[in-house]
Amino acid sequence: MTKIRNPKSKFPNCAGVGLGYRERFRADVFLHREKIDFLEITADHYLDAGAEKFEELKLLKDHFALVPHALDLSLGSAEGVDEVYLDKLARLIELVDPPWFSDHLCFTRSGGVKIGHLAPVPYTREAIRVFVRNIEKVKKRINAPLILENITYLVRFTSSEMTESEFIGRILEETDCGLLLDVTNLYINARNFGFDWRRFLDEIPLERVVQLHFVGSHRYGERLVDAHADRTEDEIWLVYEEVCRRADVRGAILERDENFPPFAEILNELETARRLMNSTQSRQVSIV
Amino acid sequence: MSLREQQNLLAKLYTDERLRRAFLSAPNETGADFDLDETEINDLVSVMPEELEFFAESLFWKRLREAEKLLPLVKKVLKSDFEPHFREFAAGFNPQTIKKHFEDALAFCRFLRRKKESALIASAARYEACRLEFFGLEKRLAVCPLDYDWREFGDRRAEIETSKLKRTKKLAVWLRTGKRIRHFFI
Repeated sequence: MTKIRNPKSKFPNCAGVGLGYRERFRADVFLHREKIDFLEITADHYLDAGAEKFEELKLLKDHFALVPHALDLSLGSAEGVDEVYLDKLARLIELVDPPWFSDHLCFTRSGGVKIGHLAPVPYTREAIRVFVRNIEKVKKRINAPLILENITYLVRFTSSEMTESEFIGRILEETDCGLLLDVTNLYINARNFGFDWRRFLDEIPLERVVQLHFVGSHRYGERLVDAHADRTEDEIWLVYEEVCRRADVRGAILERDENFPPFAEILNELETARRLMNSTQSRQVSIV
Repeated sequence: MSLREQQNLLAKLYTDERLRRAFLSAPNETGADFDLDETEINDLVSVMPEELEFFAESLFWKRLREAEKLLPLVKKVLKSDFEPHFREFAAGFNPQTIKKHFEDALAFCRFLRRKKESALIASAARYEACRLEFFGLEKRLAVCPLDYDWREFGDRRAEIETSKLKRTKKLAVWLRTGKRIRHFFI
């Protein structure tokens, strides 16, 4: 398979492989700095930061390339983006000066209710317009490039007018955003809803893939869920490798939140991710 | 139904257990309260019940896990009763700030103290709330009057035998001087 590369991409060259920063890892990430190419910080942890959290951010910034990952822009909210949250996020990003930042293709609040999680939207033309409008507002306020992450879903809408891949592709094209392809989420959705993840990759604009997320899936009864609590399994490494083979991935992040193993195991997963990414770098073709 | 109206309804269904149960058991009556027509009600009912319930439960379990991490002493005191108490609390409270799990934990402590179920639970909740506020809000000083001596159970590994807990009148103090933090009892 020939890798698609876009020389006009505004995203910098490969950031490498890293992990989502968690406070409990603080000592370990500094001890093993040479094995971690960059860190993804959860933006929300620093938006109302006190002095200690601010010191932590400065320390991380002094020693690592940082990419902020936001949780609550709620880009799919028909009522619009929360201006207060947007302003706080903008100040954080000015401070960090990252190569890009990310949030999700979802909504997290509506009508004065905060859901507290990433809720899916129907794949409709109206929803596309909502995303485009909200993203334009974000881009006017924040200079750094925005990339958008695919989510898992348990709720399906009969009102959807198109497939998920078409929906994502149209939003990316209309907003000129990059894609944070969560390969675990893709695998989970494919297993739960019985579609072929390879076909999904055929249908999305792979030249827009900037970063990946990976982690193990979690079995809950008959379903898989994205608990971020398990070691990456072989089936997900297959998806990861295929994406690296087909797309010019700039960076990949291990997104582990729970059930933490010894840090050596975390480093082993990063090493696997790096090896697979490097082994697929050989053939590249520019698109014009 | 516009996307905005749909999202307003979904946000309520995801987070309000009573409304969700009412909707799933009597969709036509509840749906009428939201000006849903028959097609819209049928769409939600035919496709969504299992997914809706699963999604809502996963939200609850996420909140519960985070609260257990933030309130280890309360968890030790309540043991398996932590979950039903938290479920009762979560049905009536929806955090609004960026620090939602911190907000949840503090509000749960207030909930437990208002319930007045036992002096032991109230004391543990008060102690943990004070600790959380000291660290979470980066206070310089926090003082908490105690009815029980929680000193021994600061170690997360220590289990609590409530029959052996000593009733006492003490003050728990947290003090921050520069980067140094001290915690002691007087």
